[in-house]
Amino acid sequence: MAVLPAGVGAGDFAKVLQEFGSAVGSQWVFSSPEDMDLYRDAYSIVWGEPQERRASAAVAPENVEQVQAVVRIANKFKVPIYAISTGRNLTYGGSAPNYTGSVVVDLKRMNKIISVDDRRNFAVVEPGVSYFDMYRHIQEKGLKVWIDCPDPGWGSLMGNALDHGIGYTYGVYRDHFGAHCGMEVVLANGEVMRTGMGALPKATSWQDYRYGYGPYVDGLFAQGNFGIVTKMGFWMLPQPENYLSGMVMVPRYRDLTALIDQVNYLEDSGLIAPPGYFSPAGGGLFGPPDPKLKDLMANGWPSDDALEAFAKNKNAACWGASLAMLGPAATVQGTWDYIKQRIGGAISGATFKDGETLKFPLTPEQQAKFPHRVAVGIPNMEVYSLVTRSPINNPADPPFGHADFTCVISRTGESVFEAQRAFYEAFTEFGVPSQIGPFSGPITWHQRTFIMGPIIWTYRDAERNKKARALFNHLIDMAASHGWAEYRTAPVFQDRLAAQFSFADHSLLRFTEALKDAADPNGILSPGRGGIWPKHLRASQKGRQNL
Amino acid sequence: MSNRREFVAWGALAIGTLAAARESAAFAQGTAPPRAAGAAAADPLYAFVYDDRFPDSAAFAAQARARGQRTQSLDHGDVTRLWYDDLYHQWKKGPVGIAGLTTPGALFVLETFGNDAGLRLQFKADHRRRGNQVEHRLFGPGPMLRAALPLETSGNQWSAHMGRVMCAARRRSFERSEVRLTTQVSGGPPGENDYLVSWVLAPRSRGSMTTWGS
Repeated sequence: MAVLPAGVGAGDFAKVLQEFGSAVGSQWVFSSPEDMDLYRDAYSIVWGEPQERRASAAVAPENVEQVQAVVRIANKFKVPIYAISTGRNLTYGGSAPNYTGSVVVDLKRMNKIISVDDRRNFAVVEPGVSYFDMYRHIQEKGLKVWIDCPDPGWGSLMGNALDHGIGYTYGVYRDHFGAHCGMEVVLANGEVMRTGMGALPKATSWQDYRYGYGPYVDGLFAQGNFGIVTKMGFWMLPQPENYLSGMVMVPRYRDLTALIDQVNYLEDSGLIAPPGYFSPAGGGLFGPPDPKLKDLMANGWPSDDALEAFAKNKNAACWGASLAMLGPAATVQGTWDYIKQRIGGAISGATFKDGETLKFPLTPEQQAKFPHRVAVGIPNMEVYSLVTRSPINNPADPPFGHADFTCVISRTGESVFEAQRAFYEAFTEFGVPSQIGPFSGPITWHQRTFIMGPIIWTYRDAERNKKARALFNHLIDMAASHGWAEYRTAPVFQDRLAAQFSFADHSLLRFTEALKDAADPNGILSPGRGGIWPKHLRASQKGRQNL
Repeated sequence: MSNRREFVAWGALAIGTLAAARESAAFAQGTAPPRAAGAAAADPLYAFVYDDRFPDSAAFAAQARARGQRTQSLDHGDVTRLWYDDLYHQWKKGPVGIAGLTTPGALFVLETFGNDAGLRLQFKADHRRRGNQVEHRLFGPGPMLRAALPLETSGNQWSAHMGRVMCAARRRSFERSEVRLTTQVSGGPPGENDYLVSWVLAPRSRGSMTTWGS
């Protein structure tokens, strides 16, 4: 056993583990170094350093009653616990806790798909159900609903939603927390609570109406530490009949502003799935850096005229957006015709390229050929083969992971231009080549949300990680100075990120701290998650923002 | 960490039985007969995984096939099909070992899935191509490392040799030693062959497996 919870001796901790074993079965309590290695953050930016957050043990309950027992034991011994679903969450902390010495409550064994209803289009699941599990279930049962999954399909529906993760279909579904409807939670005192209509004992509408009656508290359990969620309902997209895609290109550099306004209208009207912005002139997010662009930037940030001349020399439009529609054949075709008419009339010189039309369900051959399968609800692990071979990644010296700086900006062209320059200058200040430049577009994330930001590579090398952390911290501060912030980050950065939300002397954080003190007086549940520390650790831990 | 000379001297004392040493020495000299379908291995491997985008990986798989082993190609480096259609079902029944020569990314995904099924990384070797050399850094049980020593003289057949090493190895030990070796190769640009890994994921140990979701 390499790590102990603070203030707990080895003898007492052995008793804790024994009690956990009595509650869940001793074979489901892990504390050997070999087992605990699996709960390290494989992508950690503090790997092997004193700041790395390490768990002391792990316990894997099989059902709600066992979760309750675990929570009560943790309270009895005042041992911090940290719940994970399937524990992926890579780039944002993996399975590692915020507070070293915490016992991981590993919920992988709670992997029941409780229901999938394709009449009312919802599912209810336990934490250990992955996107692959749900997809397999739907296929085997022939159900007429889709999942909305993130790029790697091995994560948990619940875990992803509780970290505010996203997918790739229509807005209401790809905001995975936003698509949830009702949850069951084990509270810090060991009681079980159901939210929304689930609190009404005879209700059959738990997954129809999310608010029930009274304050809506579900948000406390995402990126928070107020309970262990043991069931969640999710709204699901009814299987669409058809998919149609197309691209629109606009010639001038500042046309991005009008393009975004037009596409915002389409998305906010529910006409399109998440738009993908790109620059035919400058390359995509994972595109190789154009050496000529580097030359263009040798004397500082280029003028709009210079950027347009650059694009013209390449015979390329400055900006493009790929758009996709799901629905009946006449509807998606009609929408695409409308888009061409609307944007063609609003932006002079706009051009359009018709894309693929597919009818669902896809044949295996169509599935294999489809370029980004998650966009049509098919989970996969392809992202690991793509990033491995990415030109922005040195194949001879590949990193061990990455910490993504996924920074929310406002959904306008003006903000995009501002962010391009701010990120570029931040990288330049650190003497690091910038992944973001004048042809970097926004990435559509949650509904009505843009993110921009770089990928920071992590290594098993303390010196390189130290530089990466310095840059990351700088980006957090720089972003906040513009009114931008990450939507999610790894535990080592959560205090610093939470501290940026400082309106009215940090009233939001102080409010959640007050709730924490009331709901979890022993401070056992995921101390530090979301920047929320329990009272007894607040002074010693909250200030650890400078790594 | 050891170079070849240090490893041979130290490993003979520290690791393995005389029988294992004889076996691996005979194997290294090419005098040991090829095994059929993993018959003599303590825990047979279910599949040898390769990435047909890389000739070295394909050569590894060809060697495994020649020794009666089942091989499975990745799908342009993507493990989805292999895991979803095949390994998922096998690992629901219980942990069965697999070996491979792939990119580090594919290993990461398979190791993570495998960990949940009660497997652990028993052997791993980094193979980095630098010009006309392939630098190998191997971690694993002593007998496997000893069997790998002929890598130094295997030239362009280095990956086929890794296939032989894995076909022949026993899988009970999770003891971990390290050795570094270099192979001189000829022809072909380094390109994207720069960095591959060979590996074995084996059931953790009898009686203490972690089988999720079964």
